[in-house]
Amino acid sequence: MTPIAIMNLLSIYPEVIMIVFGLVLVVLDVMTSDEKKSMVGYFGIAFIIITVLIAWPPVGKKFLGFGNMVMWDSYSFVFFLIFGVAYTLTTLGGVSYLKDNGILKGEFYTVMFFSIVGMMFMVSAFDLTVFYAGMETMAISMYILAGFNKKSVRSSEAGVKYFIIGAFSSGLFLYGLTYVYGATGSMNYLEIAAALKGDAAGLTTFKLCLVMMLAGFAFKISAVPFHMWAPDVYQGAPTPAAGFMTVAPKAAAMGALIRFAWIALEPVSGMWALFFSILAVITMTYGNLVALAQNNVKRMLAYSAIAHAGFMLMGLVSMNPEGYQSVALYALIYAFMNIGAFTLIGIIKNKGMIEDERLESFAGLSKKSPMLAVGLMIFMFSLAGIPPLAGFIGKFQILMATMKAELYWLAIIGGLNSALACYYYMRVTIFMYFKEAEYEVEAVVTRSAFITSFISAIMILVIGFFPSFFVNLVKTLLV
Amino acid sequence: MLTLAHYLVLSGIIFAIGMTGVLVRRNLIVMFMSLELMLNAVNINLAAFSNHLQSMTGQVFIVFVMAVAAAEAAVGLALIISLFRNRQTINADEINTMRG
Repeated sequence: MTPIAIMNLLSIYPEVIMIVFGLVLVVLDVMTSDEKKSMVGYFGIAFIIITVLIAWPPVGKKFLGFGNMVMWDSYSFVFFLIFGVAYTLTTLGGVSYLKDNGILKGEFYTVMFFSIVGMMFMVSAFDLTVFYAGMETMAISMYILAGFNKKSVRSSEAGVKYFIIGAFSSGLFLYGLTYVYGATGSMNYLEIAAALKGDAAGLTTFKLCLVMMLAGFAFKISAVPFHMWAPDVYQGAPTPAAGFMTVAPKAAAMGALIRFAWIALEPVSGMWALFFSILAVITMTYGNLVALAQNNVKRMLAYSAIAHAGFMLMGLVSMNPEGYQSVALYALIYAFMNIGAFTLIGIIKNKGMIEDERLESFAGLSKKSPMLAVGLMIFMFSLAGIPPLAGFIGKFQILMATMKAELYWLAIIGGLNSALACYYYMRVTIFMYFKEAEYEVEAVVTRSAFITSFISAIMILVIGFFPSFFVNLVKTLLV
Repeated sequence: MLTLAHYLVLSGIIFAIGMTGVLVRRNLIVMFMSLELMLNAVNINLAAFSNHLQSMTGQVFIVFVMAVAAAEAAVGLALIISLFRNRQTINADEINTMRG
């Protein structure tokens, strides 16, 4: 039997290492010259790789510490891996965008690094206190990233909007949480579950406040009807930050939600399963329908991110191990394809009158920059879920999990939605390959952007062509 | 004699005021103050439940909520200032450069 002190330490040691490395990054930021701030980001990547290697958990082993408050197991590890991937790709791909906009600062990387610590605590939380602290660490970092470009009107607008709505949703979440605490007498997931097995679940106030709490969650994963911040924030935020924000916080919120819902709310699964299946349906459908009408590619990807969140919710309501395995795999694949796409969009600069990210800027790109066009095409096809690519594997796994849970109606709506989504992803490709350029567009694929999109594209192809390896990997890690 | 219900009603009223404030008012600073009201309602609730259940968890949570509220205030005000420098306004209705 491991002594309690060691068990406590084991349950949070990856986070502790990350915090120490984060503080080192702050020091490194001061020591590097203004021209070389990207070094801070590269050091961050190295630190994350080191932490991944140290924190690699023995499969099936669980470290539950601090009076059942924090849990480090392979589930937390898989999500940490996803955040690490998101950080690495954003750092590599964002350098040129940040430099061009004059915001290549060390803080960008430090804040992103610390947000990962928050996300790790969120996913490994076994207690609402830890969960809340982690969630706010993540959220506050995200407000800063959204408003990072101080000189830009849009970026600061995005930051303020994200802040007001994020804080509002935290307020809702907390108010619901207090009643859950009042009804069950505890913040601990296990004790909440034990109390719910008794009579606490029957209270009407409890049901109402559970809905409030889950609505707060829904804000974080931008599920309709709690999505109105998402398009503006993703459009206004600096492109690399937007890529990061569509992937990592969403994966963290899904991971934490799965753990909370499946452990703490397991006795009342009927209640939240219905809530989330309805949410999944409207989120997917609304996200896809509105994305059809967008002319700004960045905004279109924001709506597509909403639709993808709806898709991930389907994995949550399936209530079987395949469900959360497929959500983790989906989040990983989504990290590759979405950050890849955002990287390539970030390097397109329109010299004419219209915005850089307008659909018309993409016209004729296949002639001007064939490499960029091919890369963007792979990402778009993958996001749409065209078979040999990774996006298809992710969608397929989630649909399989839904079918296994005998939620056929939900699976059918999911399938129809991915067909609907093809249209607007294809539209970008059509503009790149079949339209003549109207505006003068500059699209220089810099070395860092090339490396990022190359890694992402290769990963998408590899996962797409050899899915069984990755599916099995996720299955063995998430037993 | 004050019972649990009194505290819950009080916090419910404060929360409702805060929520209405965020949804109705258009001045960002006032919206921000309303957000703080919402968090304070949460704190009252937590303290009341903590006393009622005779458990410390709720009171510990209050410390977390206050710490987070302070951090949020710092970041939020900074963002509002950077917006004001760009737009010379803190009216929420005028923050509309992005429309879809």
